[in-house]
Amino acid sequence: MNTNFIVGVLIIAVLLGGIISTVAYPIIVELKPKPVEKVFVKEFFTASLEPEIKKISLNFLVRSGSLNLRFTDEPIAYKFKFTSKTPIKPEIVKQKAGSLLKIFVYANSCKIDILLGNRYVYSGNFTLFSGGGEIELSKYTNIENFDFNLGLGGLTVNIFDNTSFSNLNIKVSTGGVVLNVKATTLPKNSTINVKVGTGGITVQPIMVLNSVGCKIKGFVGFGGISLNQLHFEVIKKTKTECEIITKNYGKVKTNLDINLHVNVGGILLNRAFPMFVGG
Amino acid sequence: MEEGKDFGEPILLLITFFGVEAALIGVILARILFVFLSGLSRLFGGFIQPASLTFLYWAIPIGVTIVTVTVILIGWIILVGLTHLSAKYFFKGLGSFDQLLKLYGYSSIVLFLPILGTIFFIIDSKLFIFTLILTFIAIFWLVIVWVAAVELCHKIDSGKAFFSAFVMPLIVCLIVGSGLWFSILTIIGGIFG
Repeated sequence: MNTNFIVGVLIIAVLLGGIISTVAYPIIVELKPKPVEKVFVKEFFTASLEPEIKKISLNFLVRSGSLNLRFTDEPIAYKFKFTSKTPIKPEIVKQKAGSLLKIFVYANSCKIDILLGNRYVYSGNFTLFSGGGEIELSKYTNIENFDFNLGLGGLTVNIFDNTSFSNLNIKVSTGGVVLNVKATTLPKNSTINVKVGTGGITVQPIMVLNSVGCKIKGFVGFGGISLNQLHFEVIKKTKTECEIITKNYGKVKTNLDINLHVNVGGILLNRAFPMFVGG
Repeated sequence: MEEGKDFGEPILLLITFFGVEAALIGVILARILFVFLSGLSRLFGGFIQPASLTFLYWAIPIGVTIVTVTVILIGWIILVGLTHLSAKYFFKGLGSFDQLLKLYGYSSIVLFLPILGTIFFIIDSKLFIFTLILTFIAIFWLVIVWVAAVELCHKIDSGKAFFSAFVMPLIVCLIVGSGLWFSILTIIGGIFG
């Protein structure tokens, strides 16, 4: 064997190694079992409260992570589940004031799952400095006023049939909000206010029936609005402002008002989020 | 000398070696993008599902390879053209453009070193230092091979060959690069100024 032959074989071996690595890597990634991470979970669950309690006010202050909120018909007052990769010690303070129970929750980095029942009227203020969240409001929902304040991140809000809420205020400094309204009926007049500093708002194609009137106002300081009219009438449409309503708005018993405000960024109205994979 | 051979072999070597290296870099880019999008998914409440993004492991390496090979083939002709012009007309060299083109094509074999380095990096990112070392060795070696090729092909001394093979293309790249950079700055200034 001469030197040229050995060098040639080595070079071809490296070349083959490169080709094999390129082809094999995606397969290895798909087949490789995902490492099981240790997680720390803390649950706080209350089924029923004192008989005089009719309302619950929730106040969450979370540094970072994710916040998922939904309602159930199970006989519970609230259930908070904190999940973290590091040991977690959330602080929960309760204050009773007549028929109102105030709950204050402080937590560092974690995932919080909030489950609420339908026997109490809820109001709440949720502040998350960075992270994401998903809110699901269903027919078991009974909300007066919910405020969501997010520093950096995104929020998905799903509103389904027969959701009872008066005000839903969402503020995001930097990030995005996706609104998914599939409420063919609503028991009372409802308002959704979404304000984003820098980022965007996507309102998925709105589905409301004849029994619900709907008005959507959008404003963008610097950026643009992409509007899909669908079954709405256009009242106003400029590059940075728009207003659309359904024909029955103001003539039916319940109306839904949606106000969207973006300082810098854009609004997609009645358009699907390009990479949205959820309901 | 490569007088008797056609262009098939050097082009094949160029495409193979640069293609494999580009595909490996594509795999690394896909991995970085996957990690980034997975983080974004958590941040944005699950808009993007990482499971639906595994196609990136195929799409990015293929895309990077196609783009790189195209750019390299064009770059190969330009680089050899510049070197040939310098050697032939500044230093009265005797070689031909075709000869030099073939020799430069064969020099891409040196890329087996960065390929090996990139494989190391894919296996374990802690081995990045070897990737760097092997890449630097390859660059150094490549310049030596180019100088030798010009020296041999044009029958000029090593100093002139070095100027033609390395200094001349570098100067042209710097002039064109800075010209483009200032043009871009002027255009941006014109739009927002």
